[in-house]
Amino acid sequence: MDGKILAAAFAVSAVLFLSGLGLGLLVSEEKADYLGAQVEQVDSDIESLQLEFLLLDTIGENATCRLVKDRLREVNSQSYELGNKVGAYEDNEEGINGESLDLLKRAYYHSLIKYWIFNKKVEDVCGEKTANIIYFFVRDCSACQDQGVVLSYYKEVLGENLLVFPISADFEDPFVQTLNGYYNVTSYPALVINGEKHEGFLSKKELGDRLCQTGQSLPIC
Amino acid sequence: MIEQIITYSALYISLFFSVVVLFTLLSNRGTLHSYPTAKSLPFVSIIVPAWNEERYIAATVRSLLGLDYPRDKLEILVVNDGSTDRTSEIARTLGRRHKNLRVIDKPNGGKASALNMGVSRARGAIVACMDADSEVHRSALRMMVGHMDNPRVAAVTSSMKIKNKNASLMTKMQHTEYLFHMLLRKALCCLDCLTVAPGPFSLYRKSVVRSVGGFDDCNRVEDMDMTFRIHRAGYSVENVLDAHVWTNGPTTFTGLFNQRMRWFRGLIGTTLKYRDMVFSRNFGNFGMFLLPASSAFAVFTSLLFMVIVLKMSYSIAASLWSMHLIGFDLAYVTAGLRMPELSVLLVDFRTAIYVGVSMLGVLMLLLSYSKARERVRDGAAGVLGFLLLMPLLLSFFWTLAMFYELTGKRKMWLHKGEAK
Repeated sequence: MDGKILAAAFAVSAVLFLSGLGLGLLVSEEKADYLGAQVEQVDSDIESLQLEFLLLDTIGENATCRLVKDRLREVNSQSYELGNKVGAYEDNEEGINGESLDLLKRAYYHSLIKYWIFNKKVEDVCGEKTANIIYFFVRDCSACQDQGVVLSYYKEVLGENLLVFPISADFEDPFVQTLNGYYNVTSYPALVINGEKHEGFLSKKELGDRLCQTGQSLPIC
Repeated sequence: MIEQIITYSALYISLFFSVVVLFTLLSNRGTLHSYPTAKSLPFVSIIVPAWNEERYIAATVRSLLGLDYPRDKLEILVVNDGSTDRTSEIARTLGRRHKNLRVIDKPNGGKASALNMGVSRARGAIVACMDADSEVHRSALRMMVGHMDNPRVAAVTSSMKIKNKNASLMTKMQHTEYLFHMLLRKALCCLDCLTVAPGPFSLYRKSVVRSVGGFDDCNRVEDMDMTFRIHRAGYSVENVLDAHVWTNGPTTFTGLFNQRMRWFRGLIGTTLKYRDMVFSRNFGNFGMFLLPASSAFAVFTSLLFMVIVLKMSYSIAASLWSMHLIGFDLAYVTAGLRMPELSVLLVDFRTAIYVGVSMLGVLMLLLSYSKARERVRDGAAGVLGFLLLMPLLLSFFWTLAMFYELTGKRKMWLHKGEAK
């Protein structure tokens, strides 16, 4: 009788535990899908912007620049938030859902690079520049984590006046590697501030000074 | 990876334990409140070991004198274990009016030595041990003695409640905890797995107490040690759910800390002492289920607690460092301490199992209140404290108890000591 209770309890708790694990995997999959949908959203925003820009450029409206730039900044904030979410997902679910994570990161970086290219194009055509930083980091690098904190701070303070493109340099992806090679980054963290590369950690003050040197009218200068 | 193994093991053990308890209660649901009636009432000697208990001894003795039990079949032995206060005097004053109350004075030698002295002087074949700061329900003894008709039973335990439940938050929490333990003890009793016949009112068969060598007077958890030896000798320990005893709980953190250190280190030390019983089929569920499961529970609770403390310290340190990096600009705290978005992202499978285990715990708590015939809303602060604070406190105590026992620090196996 007692033996049966123990055996039944063992079986039932094992079933409950395993269903918990199964449920967890499903949830993790759901999270990847949810983030994936957000990446697609940002991606399609960029595409519609591109189209809008091309259209207005073709029919020759000068007011286009202002309009497109405002919307570009908006998309950057969304994309930056998304980057944080993808990073959090990566930290929490490492080793659980390798394939989904990989796909998610790939989609995110492609969208980010697309966005960066488009931003460059708009700047070339419109002539006016926004303060922007490409931030190269690698995993398991404590200086990179510190740099991330300082960057998050400026993103928070400057909002849409600062565009940040965080790139995980050790991510195996041809586009990421090309960008890495283009700026010839050899050590991390590395920041490309309005086209000017700096390798190594920049403190709050150093980064603030460099941002002001870009000649943008930023509230921190 | 190690962190995950620890978390999952601790969660699985808690889940398994909860399911065992619930299944046992379910399959015995018709008999939880029942107890056998004695064919004829036996002579019972109640031993009250007392060391400096002048505050409580009168109330304790009065509650014993008020027991619904024939006078000629009951004797009360107050063993004054070298008190330096008025304990003996108060007991003697009461003894003058009641013929069946005797006071035995002895030099201080610890609670176990006082119990042994009582056992050696007891006239009854059944002895009861009663902590000097506790009070007993008047029908408790009558409800409990019936079990002694079964020759396989060597001890019968009561259901403890907290007497000073409104003294502080600590005692309010303990009130809830004791009700919870009442149910837990009943379930473990159904599996013949009780680890301790507690000090506040337990019955023993005197012949068995003697045959296993009496109470170990080098041991501060002599009641637990005795219970282990009863199982070892092949006897059972019974419990009567409605035989209530009220005992004083520690009112301060330090008091609770000292008490729990004694209990937890006692359980670890006693399990180590009788380690040959762990996983031994000869001792039934006690050897095959309770000892392994409670040892695993203690180990993983401590490890989980350490993991949580380490992770929390790390994130506090990391947050402080982040704040330092941004020059403690408080307007932008969120840059350093990002709050996760309230969404599906927060849920992971550990949370799912945590929630599951906690819900089972709450279910058992509700059941405890109903079985103890008490209402949750009468002690909401205690319930909240028990659910939110007690797990933290207990894991902390377990971790420290584990550490002390394993490193052999501050040995607690004394040769002489206080009676309580």
